[in-house]
Amino acid sequence: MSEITVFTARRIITMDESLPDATAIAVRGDRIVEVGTLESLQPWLRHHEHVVDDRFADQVMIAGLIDPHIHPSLMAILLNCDWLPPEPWDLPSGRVDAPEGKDEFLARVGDLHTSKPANEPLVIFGYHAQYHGWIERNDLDAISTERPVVLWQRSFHEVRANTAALEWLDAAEGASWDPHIDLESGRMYESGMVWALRTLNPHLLGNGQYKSALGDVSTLIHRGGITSMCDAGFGIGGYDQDYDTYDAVLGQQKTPFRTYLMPQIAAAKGRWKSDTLEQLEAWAAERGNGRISFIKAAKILADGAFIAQLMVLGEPGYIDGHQGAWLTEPERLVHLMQPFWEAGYDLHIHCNGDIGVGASLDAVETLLHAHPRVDHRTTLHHFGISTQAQIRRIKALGVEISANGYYLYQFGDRFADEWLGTERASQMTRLGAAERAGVSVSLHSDLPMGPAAPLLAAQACATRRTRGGVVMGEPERLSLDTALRSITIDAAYQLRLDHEIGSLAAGKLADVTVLADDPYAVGADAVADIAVIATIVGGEVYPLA
Amino acid sequence: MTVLGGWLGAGKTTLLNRMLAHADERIAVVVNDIGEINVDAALISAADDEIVELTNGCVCCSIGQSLALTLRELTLRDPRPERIVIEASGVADPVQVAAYGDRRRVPLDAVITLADAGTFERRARLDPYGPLVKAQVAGADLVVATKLDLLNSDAATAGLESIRTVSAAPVIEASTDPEWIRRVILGSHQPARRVDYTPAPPVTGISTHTWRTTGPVDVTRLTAALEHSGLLRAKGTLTAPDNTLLVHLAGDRVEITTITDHALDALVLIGTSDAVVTAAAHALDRISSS
Ligand SMILES: [Zn+2]
Repeated sequence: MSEITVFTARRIITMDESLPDATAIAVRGDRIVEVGTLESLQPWLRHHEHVVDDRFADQVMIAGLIDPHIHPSLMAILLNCDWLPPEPWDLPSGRVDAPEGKDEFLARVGDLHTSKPANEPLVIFGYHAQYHGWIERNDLDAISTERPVVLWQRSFHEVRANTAALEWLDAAEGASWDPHIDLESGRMYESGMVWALRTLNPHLLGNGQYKSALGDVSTLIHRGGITSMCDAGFGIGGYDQDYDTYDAVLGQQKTPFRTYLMPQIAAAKGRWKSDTLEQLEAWAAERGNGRISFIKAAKILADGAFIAQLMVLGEPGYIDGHQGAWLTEPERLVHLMQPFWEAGYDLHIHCNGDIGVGASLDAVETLLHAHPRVDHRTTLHHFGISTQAQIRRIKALGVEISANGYYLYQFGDRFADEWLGTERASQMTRLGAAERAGVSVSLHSDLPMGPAAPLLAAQACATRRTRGGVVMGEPERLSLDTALRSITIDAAYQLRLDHEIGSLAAGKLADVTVLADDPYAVGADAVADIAVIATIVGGEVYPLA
Repeated sequence: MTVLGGWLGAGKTTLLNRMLAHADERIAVVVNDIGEINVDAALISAADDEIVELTNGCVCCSIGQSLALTLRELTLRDPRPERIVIEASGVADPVQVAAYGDRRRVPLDAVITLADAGTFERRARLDPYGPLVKAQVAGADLVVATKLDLLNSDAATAGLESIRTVSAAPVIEASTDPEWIRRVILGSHQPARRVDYTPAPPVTGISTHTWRTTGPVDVTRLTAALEHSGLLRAKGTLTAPDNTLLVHLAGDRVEITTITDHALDALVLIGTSDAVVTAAAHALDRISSS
């Protein structure tokens, strides 16, 4: 075998401003030797044995796509459920289309019930009251009184159960301890959901199901053209169980992408009660291999989730007057972040409402005063609702944004109608302002919250066109160029991996995504339609069927 | 179970540390951050593993833990803690926190909210937190006004007044007296079985009186006499026509349950002044004499 392989393409989008365009890329081992044209590569090729691999000569290459925020363990749990989501999904088992309205939803639950072996619990993911109407215990009892039927909400924060399922989940005992379990309606939400997971978790992940589902998650990530992803919140399923399963599935040399693990602070505190950071570091030092590495970054969650509408909003609040929730109270943020901050970790803060964003920025400012740092790369994740003033403050504090590229696309119009009103819903994930201010932006899926499809995220943020076809908040569009940077080099920068991945240049890892068409040529409106032909990771080609 | 509420900086941790230092029972604590607990004090009344950090019960953060599960696990411990104290977060409504726990296995002693007398009025006006700051005080059974020592007397009076306008429950001034912690905060002062007991030592700022009766009492009239009596605490066992009543008052909340034990026919009454306690004792005399 030759020392150097030269891949050729119709166009190579390097995402490196010094040499943005190329048609040939030479790879030795897992690294790039040089990017350019077959002619410009000659000084290397004259001196070294090489082969030209022109199978992608008619295709377009782009620096390997990066999803900086994925939850493989959560997606693995959900892949062992049946799916009836409010939007169509491409799953390893095939395409799931979306039932419309309550009747169709319940009919589909009924179909699943008749097609399954008797009395095996039926756990269905994707229920969303705004799309499927109000469904509770009685409706599900009408489908079966014997088989446990559980609807897991699309927001991930709630299940609704029939009588048999309430029994299966030991919900009566749970209800005597937890006010968020309501037996009458069969609802178990927020902390009540944690009670349900005592039964759901082993049911869905036991008997080797975790490993096989994680293999399916891996297929989805590959399909998205992703060559590197970060588990932004590693440890939520338990550090040891998660690592061992990841190691067995994602750690294999044949895995078509790199996995970076960003420990979640609260989960780490649960695992190592005292000296959390020291113990976590000692534990992580013994782990990681060619495909899996720990990064010197840590995740913390400020206010509640976007899809569940539990983000903490300032004036004028939610249309229906409900309140958001804190996952980490403002007073605790600094406390939990401080040891990591002082040890030089980059902090990645989940925040969704403008009050959540504000509390996160307050915490960063406090830490900056207490223990000044340069190049801290603190990143706000999801970034649902914010203000222009916060964009200015983000800039001033040297903070970056990793936005959910899917919120507006999927939920923009619905959330305007019932929760946020038009002005604020139109300005969710305010990225145009960030681009104008020169703030670094990356886009993520938060899989399973959105699909692992960086090209869709880029399209959605560059057009701000929802799935329903409405354009919302045009001034907050990203330019197509920034949108593509946000799924490549800028995502790498935020993970402090931009010296290794995110762009194509001599010496960097040879990670490439091969596309059927050129995003710049098709334009922002059609980027998501471009087929992913293959990925190349460390010089190794992983074709997509 | 006791829930401590109040805005950030109101003094919850300070009070919690004092409770741990002066309690004569074994306490398990559920706190926001273990780092804030004075472990030396804690060791007196709580074993090391009885200090539990509260993890938020959201599935996004931690799949395995919630307050409900934590409380349940604490009650299953051997030996079982005699009291659980939860330090609610500064942005939580302590009444919502108190909704956790099986009341049959973890009776609620009191929701105690601390309010910084110097900043309460301003905070209560500040959006978006103002309504929450007020709700923390409005929902409490007892309100402890803190940081009065930092204010001149006019400001202290104004501070207390601003808290009182929001609170339906008695508002009392914080004290460092160990007896005050035991009687008012922990409500652990029990009536003595014998009449010729040594009276409890006096405590600045509160008045204690043991009210005794001989005959059976009527629950409805008893409840009416205790409600809005202005008492901070009342505790004891009384004879009812068919059973024994366990009487528990914490500020605004009266709880009367039936038990099978023999009654002591006595209530310890604790109030802010002799006048309050005497008035309450008279009201009780009236219900047992008629
Ligand atoms: Zn996430």
